[in-house]
Amino acid sequence: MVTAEEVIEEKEEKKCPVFKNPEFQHSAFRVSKKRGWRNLKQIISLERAYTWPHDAVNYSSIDAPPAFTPGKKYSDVSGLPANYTDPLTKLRFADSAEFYRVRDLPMDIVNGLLELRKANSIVG
Amino acid sequence: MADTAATGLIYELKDARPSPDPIHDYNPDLTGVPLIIDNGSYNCRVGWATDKEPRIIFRNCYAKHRKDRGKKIAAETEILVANDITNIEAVRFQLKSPHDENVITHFEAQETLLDYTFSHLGINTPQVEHPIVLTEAFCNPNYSRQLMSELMFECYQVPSVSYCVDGLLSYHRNNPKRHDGLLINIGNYTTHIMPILEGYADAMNSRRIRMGGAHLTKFLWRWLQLRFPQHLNAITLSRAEEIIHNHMYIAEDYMDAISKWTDVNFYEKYVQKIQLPFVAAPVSTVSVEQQRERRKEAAKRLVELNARKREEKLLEDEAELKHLMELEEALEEFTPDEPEYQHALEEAEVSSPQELSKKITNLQQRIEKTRQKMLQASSATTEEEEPRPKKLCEDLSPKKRADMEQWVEGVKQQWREIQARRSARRQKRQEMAKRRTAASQERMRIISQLARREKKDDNFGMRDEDWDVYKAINKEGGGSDSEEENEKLQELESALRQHSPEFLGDNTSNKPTSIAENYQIHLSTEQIRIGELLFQPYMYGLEQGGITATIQYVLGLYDAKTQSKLVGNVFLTGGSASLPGLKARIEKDLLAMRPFQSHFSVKLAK
Repeated sequence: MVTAEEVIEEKEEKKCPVFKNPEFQHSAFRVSKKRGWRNLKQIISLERAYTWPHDAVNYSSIDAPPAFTPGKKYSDVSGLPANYTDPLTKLRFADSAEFYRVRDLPMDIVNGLLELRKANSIVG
Repeated sequence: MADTAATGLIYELKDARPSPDPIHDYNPDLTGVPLIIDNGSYNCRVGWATDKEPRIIFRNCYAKHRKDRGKKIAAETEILVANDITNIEAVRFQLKSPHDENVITHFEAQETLLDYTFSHLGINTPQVEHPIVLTEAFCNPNYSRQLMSELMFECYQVPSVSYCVDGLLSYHRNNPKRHDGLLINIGNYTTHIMPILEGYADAMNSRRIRMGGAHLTKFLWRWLQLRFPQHLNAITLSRAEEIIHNHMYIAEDYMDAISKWTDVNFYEKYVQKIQLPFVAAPVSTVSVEQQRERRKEAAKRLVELNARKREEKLLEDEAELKHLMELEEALEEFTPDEPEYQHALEEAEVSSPQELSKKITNLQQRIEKTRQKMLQASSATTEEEEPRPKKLCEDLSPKKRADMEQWVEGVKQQWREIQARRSARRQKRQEMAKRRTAASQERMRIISQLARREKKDDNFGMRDEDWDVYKAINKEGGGSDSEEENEKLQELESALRQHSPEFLGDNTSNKPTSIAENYQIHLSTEQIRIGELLFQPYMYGLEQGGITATIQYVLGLYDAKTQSKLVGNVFLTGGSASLPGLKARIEKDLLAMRPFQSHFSVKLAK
């Protein structure tokens, strides 16, 4: 702990702006520097773990619900409305010309397009 | 649909770079004036409460360069903050931001950025002596607010802090009297729909869609990269942003607009072409004779250089030889006892007359050799030059043609090979997919064999050759249409087109004809598709409803009277709200979902 503090003080000495308190240390870092900062997911799950009163409003309580109408499907090749899906690659296409394009695409582009739609998991 | 007929206009990308911010003077009459910091995830805007416009606007991020990985001291890293970053693409991977979505989580980064703002405002007191108005996310988690307060009060010793939500501030500024309304704040990472009743936001019934400007940019970026894989590096996030700011709009009726794009004439009329910057590659002459000439010139130059060097050396050697010969004669005259003898020996840098004579003979040999070489070289060049001109005049045309034909045949052969390989691979891939072909049965057999072998001692991976079986099983047939092959094919095709156009037939009709055209990206359906992401997040894979669907939901949480109150004042704000066509679209959607002939109005923030 001593060495960590020394290091921090060194850094502060080197470039400490006037308006700052030179002895300031973030409370989150007091325990261990390795834990780092919590990201949003962790913060949200921590919040949810508390017991809240019935009508409290949280970050996660404001999330919008899923749509009531099913989502429309668009072609991965052109963006036009797509009624068909290629069973081999799971890409969507709008007509037969696009189908040939879809079959010709290399693997990395196929994966990229599916990833864009968040449809690239093996679970399906 | 907005009238953006391009008809052949080609747009250039501006690639604007930010300029570093000046350090403002700290005026003594600014004591006590509140400082306003609009801490957004895209831009941070800072200004005094008495200013009309923010003093400093910068991207809310910084880049941390790692100079030396061996050392552990943090002081070795170089930090470029916000507008000091001149080329944001160069440091894209080292960018750090205090925001995670729209909430501030990384407070060390926040500290760095606050240092930047305070120092650029010129604050030079031991503590920041101004009350601060700070924006945060709607329903900011307590944890982040706690850390933010800690940073403010303990580190900067600010006297007082006030937290607000940026969307609400905008609403109150634009609607000083109306106290009821529906606020739609399209931010960078999120879109909020907040009903406002009696001047207060109803947090319980507000909703947040996890889609914002940053998602639109990322979608466009990735989509363009996949549509134009040859420009993978040229399409950067900053350029995608620029395209969105300048070329995108929202269609009033999406299904109608998008079906119009199937028509070829419509496409030709409304497609927008963006010219990517490119460097015209020096045209490499394919013709054989020019190459030969160049080589000849280079060879001649080398020969001349060598000859010159040899001459110089020869002169030097001869001079030295003369000198030594004189010394030898001098030695013969004097006897060993006289000082001149020693003096002569020293001059020649030898310790005895025998050595001197040896040295002389060596030198003479060297001179002989050089003379011979020079003779050879000059005779060689004269030899070369003579037959060359002869060849050039006689067999120029037929010889050249023979060479060219051979070469063209070679190119054709290569092209045929690549095409054959491609079609074979495609065939194999198709066969693997169907169930009853021999290839797929073979594949099944191998797989089942592998599975069966596991019952005994499993030493499958011990030998390297074992892993080759995966190549056989692979559905793709062990290799896909790689980019290199495509490139090679393009090269061959262009060469063939030059020399024997009839070979390729009708494949070449729609290839681009100029270098500039190769570097253009065409925006057709993308113009409306990107804006549509806000209304149909399903296109991005997000399971939430779009803006319209969520408005409907939120309104449904109220009774009819409140609903009409809310709808009477719909207010759009946020960065992406400046997309053209947004207002018209929301009006149309509201018309569709509200009861017949009810009143509503939509306003955009100033």
